[in-house]
Amino acid sequence: MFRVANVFQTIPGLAMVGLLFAPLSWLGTNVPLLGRLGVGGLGWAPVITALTLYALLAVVRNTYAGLASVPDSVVEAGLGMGMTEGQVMRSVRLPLALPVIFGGIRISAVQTLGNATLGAFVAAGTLGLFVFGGLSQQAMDLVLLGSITLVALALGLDAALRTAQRLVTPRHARRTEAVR
Amino acid sequence: MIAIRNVSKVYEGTKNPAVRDLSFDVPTGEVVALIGPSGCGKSTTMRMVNRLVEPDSGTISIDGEDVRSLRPETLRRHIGYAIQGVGLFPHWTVAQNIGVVPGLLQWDRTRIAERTHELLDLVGLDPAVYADKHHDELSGGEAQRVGVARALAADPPVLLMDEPFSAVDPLTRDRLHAEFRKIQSALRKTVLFVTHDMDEAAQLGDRIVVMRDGGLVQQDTPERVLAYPVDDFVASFGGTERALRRLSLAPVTEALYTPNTAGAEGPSVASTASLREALAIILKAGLPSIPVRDGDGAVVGAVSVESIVERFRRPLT
Repeated sequence: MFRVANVFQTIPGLAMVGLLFAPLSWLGTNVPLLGRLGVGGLGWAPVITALTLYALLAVVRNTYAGLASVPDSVVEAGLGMGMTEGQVMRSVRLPLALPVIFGGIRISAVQTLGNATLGAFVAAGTLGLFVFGGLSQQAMDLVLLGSITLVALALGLDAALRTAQRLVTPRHARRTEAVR
Repeated sequence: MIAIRNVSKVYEGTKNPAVRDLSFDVPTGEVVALIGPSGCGKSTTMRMVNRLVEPDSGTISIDGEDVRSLRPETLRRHIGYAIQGVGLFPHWTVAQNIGVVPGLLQWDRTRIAERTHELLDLVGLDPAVYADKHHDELSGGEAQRVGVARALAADPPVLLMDEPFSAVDPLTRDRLHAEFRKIQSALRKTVLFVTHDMDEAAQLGDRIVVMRDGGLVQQDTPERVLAYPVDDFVASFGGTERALRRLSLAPVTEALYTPNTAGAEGPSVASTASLREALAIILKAGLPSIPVRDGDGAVVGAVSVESIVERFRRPLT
Protein backbone atom coordinates (compact mmCIF):
# COMPACT_ATOMS: atom_id res chain seq x y z
CA MET A 1 0.00 0.00 0.00
CA PHE A 2 2.80 2.25 1.08
CA ARG A 3 4.97 1.51 -1.94
CA VAL A 4 2.08 1.91 -4.34
CA ALA A 5 1.19 5.31 -2.94
CA ASN A 6 4.83 6.32 -3.10
CA VAL A 7 5.09 5.43 -6.79
CA PHE A 8 2.17 7.74 -7.62
CA GLN A 9 3.85 10.54 -5.74
CA THR A 10 6.97 10.38 -7.93
CA ILE A 11 5.07 10.88 -11.19
CA PRO A 12 4.85 14.62 -12.03
CA GLY A 13 1.33 15.97 -11.91
CA LEU A 14 1.01 16.91 -15.56
CA ALA A 15 2.52 13.58 -16.65
CA MET A 16 0.00 11.77 -14.51
CA VAL A 17 -2.90 13.55 -16.18
CA GLY A 18 -1.29 12.71 -19.52
CA LEU A 19 -0.80 9.07 -18.58
CA LEU A 20 -4.45 8.82 -17.59
CA PHE A 21 -5.61 10.21 -20.96
CA ALA A 22 -5.40 6.91 -22.84
CA PRO A 23 -6.99 4.50 -20.32
CA LEU A 24 -9.76 6.94 -19.39
CA SER A 25 -10.61 7.71 -23.01
CA TRP A 26 -10.77 3.99 -23.63
CA LEU A 27 -13.07 3.49 -20.65
CA GLY A 28 -15.26 6.41 -21.71
CA THR A 29 -15.70 5.00 -25.20
CA ASN A 30 -16.07 1.32 -24.36
CA VAL A 31 -18.13 1.42 -21.16
CA PRO A 32 -21.30 3.27 -22.17
CA LEU A 33 -22.44 4.02 -18.63
CA LEU A 34 -19.11 5.66 -17.71
CA GLY A 35 -19.11 7.55 -20.99
CA ARG A 36 -22.52 8.98 -20.25
CA LEU A 37 -21.29 10.06 -16.79
CA GLY A 38 -18.59 12.13 -18.48
CA VAL A 39 -15.59 9.84 -18.00
CA GLY A 40 -13.01 10.45 -20.70
CA GLY A 41 -9.44 11.51 -21.31
CA LEU A 42 -10.47 15.11 -20.79
CA GLY A 43 -12.74 16.76 -18.20
CA TRP A 44 -13.18 15.93 -14.51
CA ALA A 45 -12.30 12.21 -14.64
CA PRO A 46 -8.49 12.38 -15.10
CA VAL A 47 -8.21 15.23 -12.63
CA ILE A 48 -10.13 13.51 -9.88
CA THR A 49 -8.33 10.22 -10.48
CA ALA A 50 -4.92 11.89 -10.37
CA LEU A 51 -5.74 13.95 -7.29
CA THR A 52 -7.00 10.88 -5.45
CA LEU A 53 -3.80 8.98 -6.21
CA TYR A 54 -1.72 11.92 -4.98
CA ALA A 55 -3.75 12.42 -1.82
CA LEU A 56 -3.32 8.77 -0.96
CA LEU A 57 0.32 8.99 0.13
CA ALA A 58 0.04 11.50 2.95
CA VAL A 59 -3.13 9.88 4.25
CA VAL A 60 -1.75 6.34 4.14
CA ARG A 61 1.62 7.35 5.55
CA ASN A 62 0.14 9.27 8.47
CA THR A 63 -2.45 6.62 9.27
CA TYR A 64 0.29 4.02 9.39
CA ALA A 65 2.63 6.22 11.42
CA GLY A 66 -0.18 7.14 13.80
CA LEU A 67 -1.17 3.55 14.50
CA ALA A 68 2.48 2.50 14.84
CA SER A 69 3.24 5.30 17.31
CA VAL A 70 0.89 3.89 19.97
CA PRO A 71 3.22 2.54 22.69
CA ASP A 72 3.41 -1.26 22.98
CA SER A 73 2.92 -1.10 26.75
CA VAL A 74 -0.46 0.58 26.26
CA VAL A 75 -1.63 -2.05 23.77
CA GLU A 76 -0.29 -4.84 25.95
CA ALA A 77 -2.08 -3.39 28.98
CA GLY A 78 -5.35 -3.29 27.03
CA LEU A 79 -5.07 -6.89 25.87
CA GLY A 80 -3.83 -8.06 29.27
CA MET A 81 -6.86 -6.56 31.00
CA GLY A 82 -9.19 -8.48 28.72
CA MET A 83 -10.00 -6.11 25.87
CA THR A 84 -10.61 -7.81 22.53
CA GLU A 85 -8.46 -6.80 19.53
CA GLY A 86 -11.43 -4.78 18.25
CA GLN A 87 -11.85 -2.98 21.57
CA VAL A 88 -8.13 -2.14 21.66
CA MET A 89 -8.42 -0.71 18.13
CA ARG A 90 -11.55 1.34 18.90
CA SER A 91 -10.75 2.56 22.40
CA VAL A 92 -6.97 2.78 22.35
CA ARG A 93 -5.21 2.67 19.00
CA LEU A 94 -7.52 4.84 16.91
CA PRO A 95 -8.10 7.61 19.47
CA LEU A 96 -4.36 7.86 20.08
CA ALA A 97 -3.57 7.83 16.35
CA LEU A 98 -6.36 10.22 15.36
CA PRO A 99 -4.39 13.49 15.58
CA VAL A 100 -1.67 12.11 13.30
CA ILE A 101 -4.21 10.60 10.90
CA PHE A 102 -5.95 13.96 10.77
CA GLY A 103 -2.62 15.66 10.10
CA GLY A 104 -2.33 13.51 6.97
CA ILE A 105 -5.79 14.48 5.84
CA ARG A 106 -4.94 18.14 6.30
CA ILE A 107 -1.71 17.95 4.31
CA SER A 108 -3.48 16.04 1.54
CA ALA A 109 -6.37 18.45 1.36
CA VAL A 110 -4.23 21.56 0.93
CA GLN A 111 -1.91 19.79 -1.51
CA THR A 112 -4.90 18.60 -3.54
CA LEU A 113 -6.22 22.13 -3.78
CA GLY A 114 -2.97 23.24 -5.36
CA ASN A 115 -2.72 20.26 -7.67
CA ALA A 116 -6.26 20.83 -8.88
CA THR A 117 -5.08 23.82 -10.96
CA LEU A 118 -3.60 21.26 -13.37
CA GLY A 119 -7.17 20.42 -14.35
CA ALA A 120 -7.04 23.51 -16.56
CA PHE A 121 -4.94 21.58 -19.09
CA VAL A 122 -7.56 18.87 -19.56
CA ALA A 123 -10.59 21.12 -19.68
CA ALA A 124 -11.85 20.32 -16.21
CA GLY A 125 -12.69 23.97 -15.51
CA THR A 126 -10.76 24.54 -12.32
CA LEU A 127 -9.38 27.81 -10.98
CA GLY A 128 -6.21 26.93 -12.86
CA LEU A 129 -8.08 28.06 -15.95
CA PHE A 130 -7.82 31.67 -14.77
CA VAL A 131 -4.20 31.37 -13.70
CA PHE A 132 -2.82 29.62 -16.79
CA GLY A 133 -5.22 31.41 -19.14
CA GLY A 134 -4.27 34.77 -17.64
CA LEU A 135 -0.58 33.96 -17.89
CA SER A 136 -0.77 33.00 -21.55
CA GLN A 137 -2.77 36.16 -22.41
CA GLN A 138 -0.66 38.32 -20.08
CA ALA A 139 -3.90 39.36 -18.36
CA MET A 140 -2.79 40.16 -14.82
CA ASP A 141 -6.35 40.60 -13.52
CA LEU A 142 -7.22 37.01 -14.53
CA VAL A 143 -4.03 35.66 -12.92
CA LEU A 144 -4.76 37.53 -9.71
CA LEU A 145 -8.40 36.43 -9.68
CA GLY A 146 -7.32 32.81 -9.92
CA SER A 147 -4.36 32.89 -7.56
CA ILE A 148 -5.86 35.05 -4.83
CA THR A 149 -8.95 32.88 -4.73
CA LEU A 150 -6.72 29.80 -4.59
CA VAL A 151 -4.61 31.14 -1.75
CA ALA A 152 -7.71 32.19 0.18
CA LEU A 153 -9.27 28.77 -0.33
CA ALA A 154 -6.09 27.00 0.77
CA LEU A 155 -5.72 29.13 3.90
CA GLY A 156 -9.40 28.73 4.77
CA LEU A 157 -9.32 24.97 4.29
CA ASP A 158 -6.15 24.64 6.31
CA ALA A 159 -7.59 26.71 9.16
CA ALA A 160 -10.82 24.70 9.18
CA LEU A 161 -8.99 21.37 9.22
CA ARG A 162 -6.58 22.61 11.86
CA THR A 163 -9.52 23.38 14.11
CA ALA A 164 -11.01 19.96 13.44
CA GLN A 165 -7.65 18.38 14.20
CA ARG A 166 -7.48 20.17 17.53
CA LEU A 167 -10.94 18.93 18.38
CA VAL A 168 -9.97 15.28 17.83
CA THR A 169 -6.68 15.70 19.72
CA PRO A 170 -7.03 14.51 23.30
CA ARG A 171 -6.24 17.04 25.97
CA HIS A 172 -3.04 15.28 26.99
CA ALA A 173 -1.53 15.45 23.50
CA ARG A 174 -2.44 19.10 22.86
CA ARG A 175 0.13 20.25 25.31
CA THR A 176 2.93 18.39 23.58
CA GLU A 177 1.48 19.23 20.14
CA ALA A 178 2.72 16.08 18.44
CA VAL A 179 0.91 17.28 15.38
CA ARG A 180 2.59 17.55 12.02
CA MET B 1 -3.56 -21.42 43.59
CA ILE B 2 -1.80 -21.03 40.28
CA ALA B 3 -0.33 -24.39 39.25
CA ILE B 4 2.24 -24.41 36.47
CA ARG B 5 3.04 -27.93 35.29
CA ASN B 6 5.77 -28.99 32.85
CA VAL B 7 5.30 -25.88 30.74
CA SER B 8 7.54 -25.31 27.72
CA LYS B 9 7.60 -22.61 25.08
CA VAL B 10 9.79 -22.14 22.02
CA TYR B 11 9.23 -18.91 20.12
CA GLU B 12 9.04 -19.24 16.37
CA GLY B 13 12.36 -18.61 14.69
CA THR B 14 14.42 -19.32 17.81
CA LYS B 15 16.25 -22.51 18.66
CA ASN B 16 16.53 -22.37 22.43
CA PRO B 17 13.31 -22.67 24.38
CA ALA B 18 12.21 -19.50 26.20
CA VAL B 19 10.76 -21.74 28.92
CA ARG B 20 11.48 -25.43 29.34
CA ASP B 21 9.68 -27.98 31.47
CA LEU B 22 8.86 -25.48 34.18
CA SER B 23 6.74 -26.45 37.18
CA PHE B 24 5.90 -24.49 40.31
CA ASP B 25 2.93 -23.29 42.35
CA VAL B 26 1.75 -19.92 43.54
CA PRO B 27 -0.18 -20.88 46.70
CA THR B 28 -3.46 -19.05 47.36
CA GLY B 29 -2.92 -15.77 49.19
CA GLU B 30 0.84 -15.78 48.71
CA VAL B 31 3.28 -13.75 46.65
CA VAL B 32 5.73 -15.69 44.51
CA ALA B 33 8.56 -13.58 43.13
CA LEU B 34 9.84 -14.91 39.83
CA ILE B 35 13.41 -13.72 39.47
CA GLY B 36 16.20 -14.12 36.94
CA PRO B 37 18.34 -12.20 34.45
CA SER B 38 16.70 -10.66 31.39
CA GLY B 39 15.78 -13.24 28.80
CA CYS B 40 15.48 -16.07 31.33
CA GLY B 41 11.82 -16.63 30.46
CA LYS B 42 10.22 -15.09 33.53
CA SER B 43 8.00 -12.65 31.62
CA THR B 44 7.06 -15.38 29.13
CA THR B 45 6.03 -17.56 32.06
CA MET B 46 3.81 -14.82 33.44
CA ARG B 47 2.28 -14.08 30.06
CA MET B 48 1.37 -17.73 29.67
CA VAL B 49 -0.79 -17.53 32.79
CA ASN B 50 -3.13 -14.98 31.18
CA ARG B 51 -2.59 -16.47 27.71
CA LEU B 52 -0.89 -13.49 26.11
CA VAL B 53 1.50 -16.30 25.15
CA GLU B 54 0.31 -19.88 24.60
CA PRO B 55 2.59 -22.68 25.86
CA ASP B 56 3.71 -25.41 23.45
CA SER B 57 3.23 -28.06 26.10
CA GLY B 58 2.30 -28.44 29.76
CA THR B 59 -0.68 -27.04 31.64
CA ILE B 60 -1.43 -23.99 33.73
CA SER B 61 -4.42 -23.98 36.03
CA ILE B 62 -5.92 -21.49 38.46
CA ASP B 63 -7.78 -23.05 41.39
CA GLY B 64 -7.91 -26.33 39.53
CA GLU B 65 -9.34 -24.89 36.32
CA ASP B 66 -7.22 -25.10 33.18
CA VAL B 67 -6.71 -21.57 31.82
CA ARG B 68 -7.45 -22.91 28.33
CA SER B 69 -11.03 -23.75 29.34
CA LEU B 70 -11.94 -20.05 29.19
CA ARG B 71 -11.87 -17.51 26.36
CA PRO B 72 -8.68 -15.43 26.76
CA GLU B 73 -10.64 -12.19 27.25
CA THR B 74 -12.86 -13.75 29.94
CA LEU B 75 -9.83 -15.21 31.69
CA ARG B 76 -7.93 -11.91 31.63
CA ARG B 77 -10.85 -9.92 33.05
CA HIS B 78 -10.56 -12.06 36.18
CA ILE B 79 -6.80 -11.69 36.57
CA GLY B 80 -5.29 -8.39 37.70
CA TYR B 81 -2.46 -7.25 35.44
CA ALA B 82 0.14 -4.61 36.19
CA ILE B 83 3.13 -4.13 33.91
CA GLN B 84 6.44 -2.41 33.48
CA GLY B 85 5.99 1.13 32.19
CA VAL B 86 2.47 1.00 33.66
CA GLY B 87 0.71 1.18 30.27
CA LEU B 88 -1.87 3.72 31.43
CA PHE B 89 -4.07 4.92 28.57
CA PRO B 90 -2.76 8.47 28.11
CA HIS B 91 -6.00 9.80 26.61
CA TRP B 92 -8.08 8.68 29.59
CA THR B 93 -8.25 10.06 33.11
CA VAL B 94 -6.98 8.17 36.13
CA ALA B 95 -10.57 7.25 37.03
CA GLN B 96 -11.31 5.97 33.52
CA ASN B 97 -8.11 3.93 33.55
CA ILE B 98 -9.01 2.27 36.83
CA GLY B 99 -12.50 1.60 35.51
CA VAL B 100 -11.35 -0.37 32.45
CA VAL B 101 -11.92 -3.92 33.69
CA PRO B 102 -15.12 -3.10 35.65
CA GLY B 103 -16.35 -1.48 32.42
CA LEU B 104 -15.49 -4.61 30.41
CA LEU B 105 -17.39 -6.62 33.02
CA GLN B 106 -20.33 -4.24 32.51
CA TRP B 107 -20.64 -2.96 36.03
CA ASP B 108 -23.02 -0.01 36.29
CA ARG B 109 -21.61 3.50 36.47
CA THR B 110 -22.21 4.28 40.12
CA ARG B 111 -20.57 1.02 41.16
CA ILE B 112 -17.50 1.79 38.99
CA ALA B 113 -17.28 5.31 40.43
CA GLU B 114 -17.48 4.00 44.00
CA ARG B 115 -14.89 1.34 43.33
CA THR B 116 -12.51 3.84 41.70
CA HIS B 117 -12.81 6.10 44.73
CA GLU B 118 -12.16 3.20 47.09
CA LEU B 119 -9.07 2.06 45.15
CA LEU B 120 -7.51 5.51 44.95
CA ASP B 121 -7.87 5.70 48.73
CA LEU B 122 -6.31 2.25 49.04
CA VAL B 123 -3.20 3.21 47.05
CA GLY B 124 -2.87 6.51 48.91
CA LEU B 125 -4.01 8.97 46.23
CA ASP B 126 -6.70 11.50 47.13
CA PRO B 127 -9.61 10.84 44.71
CA ALA B 128 -10.63 14.50 44.72
CA VAL B 129 -7.19 15.45 43.43
CA TYR B 130 -6.28 12.53 41.18
CA ALA B 131 -9.47 11.09 39.65
CA ASP B 132 -9.52 13.51 36.71
CA LYS B 133 -5.79 13.77 36.05
CA HIS B 134 -4.08 12.32 33.00
CA HIS B 135 -0.97 10.16 32.89
CA ASP B 136 1.30 13.06 31.91
CA GLU B 137 0.26 14.97 35.03
CA LEU B 138 1.39 12.18 37.35
CA SER B 139 4.84 11.49 38.80
CA GLY B 140 6.36 8.06 38.17
CA GLY B 141 5.37 6.84 41.62
CA GLU B 142 1.81 8.11 41.26
CA ALA B 143 1.44 6.44 37.85
CA GLN B 144 2.60 3.13 39.30
CA ARG B 145 0.11 3.46 42.15
CA VAL B 146 -2.63 3.97 39.57
CA GLY B 147 -1.32 0.90 37.73
CA VAL B 148 -1.72 -1.18 40.88
CA ALA B 149 -5.19 0.27 41.54
CA ARG B 150 -6.19 -0.60 37.97
CA ALA B 151 -4.99 -4.18 38.41
CA LEU B 152 -7.06 -4.49 41.60
CA ALA B 153 -10.14 -2.82 40.11
CA ALA B 154 -12.46 -5.80 39.68
CA ASP B 155 -11.16 -7.43 42.87
CA PRO B 156 -9.53 -10.38 41.05
CA PRO B 157 -8.28 -13.23 43.27
CA VAL B 158 -5.11 -13.51 41.17
CA LEU B 159 -2.64 -10.76 40.24
CA LEU B 160 0.15 -10.82 37.69
CA MET B 161 2.76 -8.11 38.13
CA ASP B 162 5.63 -7.65 35.70
CA GLU B 163 8.19 -5.31 37.28
CA PRO B 164 5.47 -2.80 38.13
CA PHE B 165 7.78 -0.74 40.35
CA SER B 166 10.78 -0.62 38.04
CA ALA B 167 10.69 2.92 36.68
CA VAL B 168 10.97 4.96 39.88
CA ASP B 169 13.76 6.23 42.10
CA PRO B 170 14.90 3.95 44.98
CA LEU B 171 13.19 6.02 47.66
CA THR B 172 9.80 5.97 45.96
CA ARG B 173 10.34 2.30 45.28
CA ASP B 174 10.87 1.50 48.96
CA ARG B 175 7.69 3.36 49.77
CA LEU B 176 5.73 1.54 47.07
CA HIS B 177 7.09 -1.77 48.39
CA ALA B 178 5.97 -0.95 51.91
CA GLU B 179 2.53 0.05 50.65
CA PHE B 180 2.25 -3.06 48.52
CA ARG B 181 3.08 -5.24 51.54
CA LYS B 182 0.41 -3.46 53.57
CA ILE B 183 -2.20 -3.85 50.84
CA GLN B 184 -1.28 -7.50 50.33
CA SER B 185 -1.48 -8.31 54.04
CA ALA B 186 -5.05 -6.97 53.98
CA LEU B 187 -6.22 -8.41 50.65
CA ARG B 188 -4.30 -11.72 50.53
CA LYS B 189 -4.25 -11.99 46.74
CA THR B 190 -2.52 -14.80 44.91
CA VAL B 191 0.31 -12.90 43.24
CA LEU B 192 2.89 -13.86 40.64
CA PHE B 193 5.47 -11.09 40.65
CA VAL B 194 8.24 -10.84 38.05
CA THR B 195 11.42 -8.93 38.89
CA HIS B 196 15.16 -8.97 38.20
CA ASP B 197 15.98 -7.37 41.53
CA MET B 198 16.78 -9.65 44.46
CA ASP B 199 15.98 -6.94 47.00
CA GLU B 200 12.51 -6.51 45.54
CA ALA B 201 11.97 -10.27 45.41
CA ALA B 202 13.09 -10.65 49.03
CA GLN B 203 11.00 -7.70 50.19
CA LEU B 204 7.75 -8.74 48.51
CA GLY B 205 7.88 -12.48 47.99
CA ASP B 206 6.65 -15.13 50.38
CA ARG B 207 8.57 -17.45 48.11
CA ILE B 208 11.17 -16.88 45.42
CA VAL B 209 11.48 -18.87 42.20
CA VAL B 210 14.87 -18.34 40.51
CA MET B 211 14.99 -18.95 36.76
CA ARG B 212 17.84 -19.22 34.27
CA ASP B 213 17.72 -20.09 30.56
CA GLY B 214 14.03 -20.93 30.74
CA GLY B 215 14.36 -23.41 33.58
CA LEU B 216 13.87 -23.37 37.34
CA VAL B 217 17.08 -23.17 39.39
CA GLN B 218 15.80 -22.84 42.93
CA GLN B 219 12.56 -22.17 44.76
CA ASP B 220 12.36 -21.41 48.44
CA THR B 221 11.63 -18.71 51.01
CA PRO B 222 13.60 -15.49 50.46
CA GLU B 223 15.77 -16.07 53.50
CA ARG B 224 16.66 -19.61 52.51
CA VAL B 225 17.47 -18.57 48.94
CA LEU B 226 19.87 -15.98 50.37
CA ALA B 227 21.26 -18.32 53.03
CA TYR B 228 21.51 -21.52 50.98
CA PRO B 229 21.90 -20.69 47.29
CA VAL B 230 22.01 -23.94 45.28
CA ASP B 231 24.84 -22.74 43.07
CA ASP B 232 27.11 -19.83 42.23
CA PHE B 233 24.55 -18.36 39.87
CA VAL B 234 21.93 -17.97 42.60
CA ALA B 235 24.61 -16.79 45.03
CA SER B 236 25.75 -14.09 42.62
CA PHE B 237 22.15 -13.04 42.17
CA GLY B 238 21.91 -12.52 45.91
CA GLY B 239 24.97 -10.30 45.67
CA THR B 240 27.98 -10.05 47.97
CA GLU B 241 25.81 -8.43 50.59
CA ARG B 242 23.25 -11.19 50.71
CA ALA B 243 23.93 -11.78 54.41
CA LEU B 244 22.99 -8.16 55.04
CA ARG B 245 19.86 -8.62 52.94
CA ARG B 246 18.88 -11.52 55.16
CA LEU B 247 18.94 -9.15 58.14
CA SER B 248 15.93 -7.26 56.84
CA LEU B 249 13.96 -10.49 56.39
CA ALA B 250 14.21 -11.72 60.01
CA PRO B 251 12.24 -10.08 62.84
CA VAL B 252 14.13 -8.85 65.87
CA THR B 253 12.25 -11.37 68.04
CA GLU B 254 14.34 -14.17 66.52
CA ALA B 255 17.52 -12.79 68.15
CA LEU B 256 15.78 -11.72 71.35
CA TYR B 257 17.14 -12.95 74.65
CA THR B 258 15.95 -12.57 78.23
CA PRO B 259 16.43 -11.23 80.73
CA ASN B 260 17.32 -7.82 79.42
CA THR B 261 20.96 -7.03 80.24
CA ALA B 262 21.06 -3.74 78.35
CA GLY B 263 19.20 -1.72 80.98
CA ALA B 264 15.99 0.17 80.29
CA GLU B 265 17.70 3.46 79.51
CA GLY B 266 19.03 4.70 76.18
CA PRO B 267 18.08 3.68 72.66
CA SER B 268 15.77 0.70 72.15
CA VAL B 269 14.17 -1.16 69.25
CA ALA B 270 10.52 -2.09 68.69
CA SER B 271 9.72 -5.82 68.78
CA THR B 272 8.10 -5.50 65.32
CA ALA B 273 11.34 -4.26 63.74
CA SER B 274 13.71 -6.33 61.61
CA LEU B 275 17.20 -7.41 62.63
CA ARG B 276 18.53 -4.88 60.13
CA GLU B 277 16.88 -2.02 62.01
CA ALA B 278 18.07 -3.44 65.35
CA LEU B 279 21.66 -3.68 64.12
CA ALA B 280 21.47 -0.13 62.74
CA ILE B 281 20.39 1.16 66.15
CA ILE B 282 23.13 -0.84 67.90
CA LEU B 283 25.79 0.55 65.54
CA LYS B 284 24.52 4.11 65.88
CA ALA B 285 24.40 3.90 69.67
CA GLY B 286 27.83 2.24 69.81
CA LEU B 287 26.55 -0.24 72.40
CA PRO B 288 26.96 -4.04 72.50
CA SER B 289 23.25 -4.56 73.15
CA ILE B 290 19.95 -2.63 73.31
CA PRO B 291 16.57 -3.36 74.94
CA VAL B 292 13.57 -4.48 72.88
CA ARG B 293 10.20 -2.91 73.59
CA ASP B 294 6.75 -4.23 72.71
CA GLY B 295 3.84 -2.14 71.42
CA ASP B 296 3.06 -0.82 74.92
CA GLY B 297 6.63 0.32 75.47
CA ALA B 298 7.41 -2.43 78.00
CA VAL B 299 10.89 -3.97 77.78
CA VAL B 300 10.54 -7.62 76.71
CA GLY B 301 14.23 -8.51 76.41
CA ALA B 302 17.35 -7.42 74.62
CA VAL B 303 19.17 -7.91 71.34
CA SER B 304 22.93 -7.81 70.90
CA VAL B 305 25.50 -8.17 68.15
CA GLU B 306 26.24 -11.64 69.54
CA SER B 307 22.60 -12.71 69.59
CA ILE B 308 22.26 -11.61 65.97
CA VAL B 309 25.38 -13.55 64.98
CA GLU B 310 24.01 -16.51 66.93
CA ARG B 311 20.69 -16.27 65.05
CA PHE B 312 22.62 -16.39 61.77
CA ARG B 313 24.61 -19.41 62.86
CA ARG B 314 21.44 -21.42 63.53
CA PRO B 315 20.40 -23.49 60.54
CA LEU B 316 17.16 -22.34 58.92
CA THR B 317 14.27 -24.74 58.91
